Amino acid sequence: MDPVVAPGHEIWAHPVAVLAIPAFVPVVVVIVTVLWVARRDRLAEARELSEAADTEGTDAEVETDAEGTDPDAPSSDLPDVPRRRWRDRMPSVVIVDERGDDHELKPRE
Amino acid sequence: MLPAIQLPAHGVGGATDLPIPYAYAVVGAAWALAISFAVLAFAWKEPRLQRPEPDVAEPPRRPWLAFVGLLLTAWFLGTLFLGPDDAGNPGLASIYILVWVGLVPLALLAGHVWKDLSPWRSIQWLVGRITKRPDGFVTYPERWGYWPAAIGLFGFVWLELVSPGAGDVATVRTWVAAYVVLTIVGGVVLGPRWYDRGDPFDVYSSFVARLAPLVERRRFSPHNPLVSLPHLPIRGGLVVVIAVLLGSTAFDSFSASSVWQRTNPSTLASTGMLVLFCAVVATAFWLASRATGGVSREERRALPGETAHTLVPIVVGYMFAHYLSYLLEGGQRAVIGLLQQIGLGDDLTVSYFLSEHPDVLAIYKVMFVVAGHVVAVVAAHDIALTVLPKAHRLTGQLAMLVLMVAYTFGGIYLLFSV
Repeated sequence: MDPVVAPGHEIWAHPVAVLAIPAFVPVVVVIVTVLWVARRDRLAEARELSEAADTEGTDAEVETDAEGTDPDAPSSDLPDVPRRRWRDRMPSVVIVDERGDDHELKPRE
Repeated sequence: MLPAIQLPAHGVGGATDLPIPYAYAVVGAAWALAISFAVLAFAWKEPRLQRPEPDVAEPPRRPWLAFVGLLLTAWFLGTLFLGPDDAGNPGLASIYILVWVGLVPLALLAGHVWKDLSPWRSIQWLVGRITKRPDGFVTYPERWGYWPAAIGLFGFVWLELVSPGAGDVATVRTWVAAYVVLTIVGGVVLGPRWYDRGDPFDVYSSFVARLAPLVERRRFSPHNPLVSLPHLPIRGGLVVVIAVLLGSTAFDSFSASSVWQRTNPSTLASTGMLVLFCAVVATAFWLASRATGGVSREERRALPGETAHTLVPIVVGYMFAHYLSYLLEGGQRAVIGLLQQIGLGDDLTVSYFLSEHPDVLAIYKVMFVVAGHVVAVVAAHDIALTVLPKAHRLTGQLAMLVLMVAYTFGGIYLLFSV
């Protein structure tokens, strides 16, 4: 049985080739659109993450400054950070026993 | 007596009477799919079809339907084995048309009623009661999945589409006898699970029944079939079963084309081409379903099974598109032939409405193919929203969109070019 081989020009003129282009045009349009939307979303998400990281960096810097200041200083001299209750700012001593449990020494009454 | 039902070499007739240019159908169907996908992408952003399956036990088989099934089987097989030894035997048409093609509309209308009708389940039930082994003697191996059904389906489509004896009574008798023995022995040994996963016709019916709008769990219950479709059990061989159904339908069109007929193919070549069609369908789907980002290796491996149910509407659409005229007109001839075997139906005549109105037939064919694919795109989009990570919900479907359009393109081209 001789193999059936179509000449090159017949392949390009074949109805499959002629039909495939108009049939797949909307598919290509949809694919390009979806990929473009996905890329836009990815860039927007990356921008949001970047901005969030910048904001967190600023907050951390402010917090470091607040820890570096004298806790006994007058409140008017402290930076503009959320004020903590006075008991939370009291110094405490923490020791660790052999079992690894924390025991906070409280002032005797 | 009606004249013999002439079965071509591939068992059933092809679509040769389509009056509209297939170019319009191909391009229009591809556009319909792309537009459907675009609308879904921007309007359907949350899963709507993924609901837990109701925790209701499978109802028992209905005895009266089991009795009807036994009667029908005795009628069909009695005609096949005791009827004429030539191609005029109505048993041939009853197997090829009423059983094989008629199974699809039956499942769509009445759900998985095949389970009630199956005479092999009735025999297994009876033997199970006698031997006090209702669940068989050996547990059905989980790793077998749907593979026995896939092999059985391939065996049937090979008989119908490739075997040189497709229209030969002796060949069909041999195939049916082998099927009956294997099915009964398998059921007795492995229990009812053999029919749920191994019987090709039972499995095929259960798949299509997922799309039955009026019946759920074999009981009347109007519902959205797209909600029950994702509950198709995922087991090994699932994609292969669907690929055999889809690939064989495509091969049926291709094998009737002048391009293929000119080569005067041997049985071996036809078998190889049938395998190739099924393999291309399965491989393309396997690749497209996995072509997404943002998932782990295990999640990617599970994607073909999780999305395989989306191909069922395509299978149903192609079955109707390909075999509609054969089902309605050949089916009438088959029923009349069966009636004549018991002394009835001599005054009945066949209506050839579709053959006399090829334009109507063409419209229906295109409609079934496009509708099957549009439903598939909807089901695929919804399951993608569930199983794909949020950032990849749309991009993860692009390969599937290309595949669906390619299936539509190829399917309609083959259907109309024959």
